[in-house]
This record gives sequence, structure tokens and C-alpha cells, in this order.
Amino acid sequence: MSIALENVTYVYAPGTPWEHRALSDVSIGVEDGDFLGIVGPTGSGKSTLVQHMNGLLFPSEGRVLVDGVEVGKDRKALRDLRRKVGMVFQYPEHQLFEETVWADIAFGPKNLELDDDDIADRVAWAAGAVGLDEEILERSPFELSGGQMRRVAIAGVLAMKGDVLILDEPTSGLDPRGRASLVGRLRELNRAGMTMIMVSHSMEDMAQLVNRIVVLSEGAVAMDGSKRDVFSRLEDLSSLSLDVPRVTHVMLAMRRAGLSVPLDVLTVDEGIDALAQLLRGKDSASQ
Amino acid sequence: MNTAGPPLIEFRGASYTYRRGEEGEIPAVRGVDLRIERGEFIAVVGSNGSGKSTLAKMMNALLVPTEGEVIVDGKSAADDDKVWDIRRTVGMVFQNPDNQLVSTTVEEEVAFGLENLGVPTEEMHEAIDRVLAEIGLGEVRHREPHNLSGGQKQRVAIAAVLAMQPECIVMDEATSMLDPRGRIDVMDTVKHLCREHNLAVVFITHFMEEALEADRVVVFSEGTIVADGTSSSVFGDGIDLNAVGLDVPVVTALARGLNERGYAVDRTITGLDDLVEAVCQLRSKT
Repeated sequence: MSIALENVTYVYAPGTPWEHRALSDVSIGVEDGDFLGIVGPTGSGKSTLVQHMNGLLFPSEGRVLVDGVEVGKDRKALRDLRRKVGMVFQYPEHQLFEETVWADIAFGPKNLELDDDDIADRVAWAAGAVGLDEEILERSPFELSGGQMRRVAIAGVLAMKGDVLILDEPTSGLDPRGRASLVGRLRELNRAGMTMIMVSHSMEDMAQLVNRIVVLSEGAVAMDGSKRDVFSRLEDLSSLSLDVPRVTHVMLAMRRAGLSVPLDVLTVDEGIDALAQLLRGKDSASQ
Repeated sequence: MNTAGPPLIEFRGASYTYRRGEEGEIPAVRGVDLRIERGEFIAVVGSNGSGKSTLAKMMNALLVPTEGEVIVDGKSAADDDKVWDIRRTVGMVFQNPDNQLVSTTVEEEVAFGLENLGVPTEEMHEAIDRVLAEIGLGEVRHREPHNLSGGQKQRVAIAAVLAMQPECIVMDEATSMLDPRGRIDVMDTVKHLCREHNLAVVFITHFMEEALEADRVVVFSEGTIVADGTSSSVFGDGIDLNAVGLDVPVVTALARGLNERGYAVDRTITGLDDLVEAVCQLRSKT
């Protein structure tokens, strides 16, 4: 499923003293099966942007197209849209409320008025997709660890079987093991064909998951490109108080010390390869 | 750091069990021995559910040990008469800034604890001015804490603790909800307080790069201390961090990777400059 924002401007509370232009002339395309990352300083309009993608907000100017069809305010069309484009908010575990994990994941599908077998199938699939053990399903969500609760909340959105998943800071507050596990599950969902859009401050998440990155600054698109292109523009990023992955920092320090290493290095394994190549290159040159 | 006198905080075989004696009791902290000295900057790392937040709450008598003892500045946490002294000595900043700020202006937030202590008005104003200047919040003193950035909110929480003139500040995952800029601001603030004011800092985190900033790193797993030492001893080869749900810092991971491919790079490197130097040296060898 593809999503396109065309010249979208969004103004909060227009005509009041609190009027605030949160998005200015934003144009972005998300292809079917893509994994798009959205980064930007706090207050740059990231959350406002993604809320346009499933009709939680409507542009003040411009338009939003989903699979080529303009998003309008027709109630039935909006209900269909929100089923297809699932949204996982920040700290979604705060919204868990059912007595068991199973009931929490089943809440959405039940509202779709599916039959019991269908609901059970969806719960089992969604729980599996985020790596929750079957024995956890009968427990209270409030007895789980932070990482497990996060996964229950994501499973609840997945159980709607949408085509697009939007995630706002999915790994925030998780420990390294919980984070690595969730990152692996998200990558698998994308590989299985789900279109994904992720808002995150974690450049490590971006490095490991997304294909493309849009950088927002004061409500406008400051950069839009492949993650390697974007992360190689270190100065532009730091002028926006944005970071690059830790490994990219290391490569930059190597460059400053006069070593010719590439800067488009995003993961630890790529970093080891790049440094090993540098050291090997020296050996072969000196022989 | 002054290690001559008695420690500021001492755990002596201290345990904490939730629902003790009931069905489903949870031993969160198990027989911990730990000494924290005045002016020390110590990081406590551990996975979710390792018991590190329980450990933190035992440091200022929010939780009293179910076995063993916790002594803060010579006072036992089990002594009801000393609880408020202990909480003045050891202040806490929690994870979610929105859950700990109660006032309508930054100034009032800092005044809140002082008012409760009955500090005279004049003295209180002096303390507020001093603390806000120290933390760099003078310009936002009349703003609502609610409208500040996450990093600023946590610095307001730190300022409110600092106004009580504590000996130690415990940061319980206080940076985990912040953006990168906010994390750096908070870290710089506590480093400054530790260096300039000899304030002990206990920094609980699972960002390994933050733990590297500390003088000492304690690794907590399943309610017990599994490693305790300098960052290079802990992140070097001392312990399998992956087995306790943690990562090694990126610099150390690179050093290990190169070492495993046969290059003469020290596996225990934690500093970026040290790694750059090691690679430069290998490169210049002919």
C-alpha cells in the first residue's frame, strides 16, 4: 500500500492566539513494502506528519493519497483506512487494559465482528509475529516486563491485519535485549511485505531497520534520501541537533586522524569490515 | 573522591522481596553488599526486570530492606526517625519527567521541597536563585514545567533535588525517555555536579555509552551484582554482557571484532581515542 503527502500544510488552532503551523508544504511518498524512517528534533512535526497518514488529522492545505485515493472525511472510508494503516503510539503499553494478554490483543479484531475462530487465529498470528510465547497469553499484561508489554501493544495493532504499520518510538525505554528482539521482529514483518513507517530518536534503530529517511525541521522536509546518504551528511544533521549511529561517529574520528575509512558505515559488523580492510590494505601495499 | 571515612551509602547483605511471605513473592534484590563513597560517579546497568530500580529505591529508604541493612550517612534505613534525613541526603530523579513535576512554574517546583522543610522565605529565595543558576534554568524560571522539553524537565527535577543540598543524587533511568540532545544535557549536568560539588551520582541506565562516563560500573542481574569495577574492566572481558541482556559499547565491540580477526587490538578498549590510536599504530607498522 502506498501513501503520498502532497504539499501538506497543517495549522493547529487557526485563527486563535495559539495558532501554530506544525507542517509547511510537506511532500513525501512511501512506496508499497518500503520502510521509511522519520527523524527530527522534538517539536519538528513528526507526530503531526504520521497522524495524517491514517486520517487522524487532515491537512489545512494540500492532500494525502493512500493507494492513489485522496483521504477524505467520509466516515466509512476513514474506518477502512484506519484498519489498513495501523498506528502504534509512543509508550503504547500505557493503553493496555484487559485482564489477559489474549483479550488485549483480541480487542481490535472483536470490534471487526469476526467469528471466534478468526479472532483466535489473528491473536495467535500477531502474538507469534512479535515473539510472545503462548503461555504468556493467559497472564495479566501488567505482570509482564516492559519489553513484553510493548510487544503486546504492537500485537494488538497487528491483529487488525492492516497493510501499513506506523510506529512512534517503538524501542524507547527497552533494554538492549528487548530492543534487539523487537527490531528483529519488525524487520521480519517488513520483509514479509508490510509497509512500515517509524518515528524514532534512535539512530541505531534507523541504521538497522529503515531503507529511507526523511528529516523534518520546523515542520518542513530538510532531507529525504537513502539512510546512507542521510547519515553521511553529518554536519547538516548536527546543525539540527540530530545524531548519527555510534559506529558512524567512530568512522568520523578515524577520518579526523587521517585514516581513509568510508563514512557510510552504519552497523558494528560493517565497522569491523571497514577497519579490517583498512589494515589489510596497508599490509598489501607494504609488501 | 574521599574513601578515607565511612561510605556514604552501604548495603550490608541487603535484600528486598515484594509480597514477602505471600504467594508469588518476588525476590527483587538478593543479599547485596555495596559501598558508595562520597563524590563517586557510579553507573548501575542491568536489563529490564533485573532489580536495579528496586536497588535504587533502597538507597533513599523508599524501600526498606526485608533482610540485611542499608546505612546512609551512618543512619539505618530501617529506623523510622531517620527516613526524612536519609531522603534529604539521597535525592531521586525518576524515569518519566511528567510524573514527578507538580508545580505550575519552575521556581515553585524547586521551592516545593524547601517549603515542606519550613525553610524561611528569604533563605528559600536564595537557594532557588543559586540552584537555578547552577543548573542553567534561570531563563525558564517563570515557565510552566509542563511546556519545557524533556531534558529541561529532568533538569528541573534535578534542581528540585539539589535545593535540598543532598550528598547523593540517584538517577533511575532518568534519561530513557529523552531525545539525544536531552540525554546529553542531563548527563553534562550530573557530571558537573559530581566534579564541582563532590556530589555522589548513581546513574541507572541501559545505555552503555552513558555508563562509560562513570568512574565505576556495577552490573546488576537477577537481583545481584555480577560485576563491579572500572568501565574498561567491566566492558572488557570481565563478564558476558549479552548473557545478562546487555550490549558492549560500540567502541569495545569494534575492538573485539578486530581482535578476533587477528589484529593486535586490545579487546578491553572503551575509549574512542584509544581505539583510533590503536588503529593508527597498527597502520603505521611496516
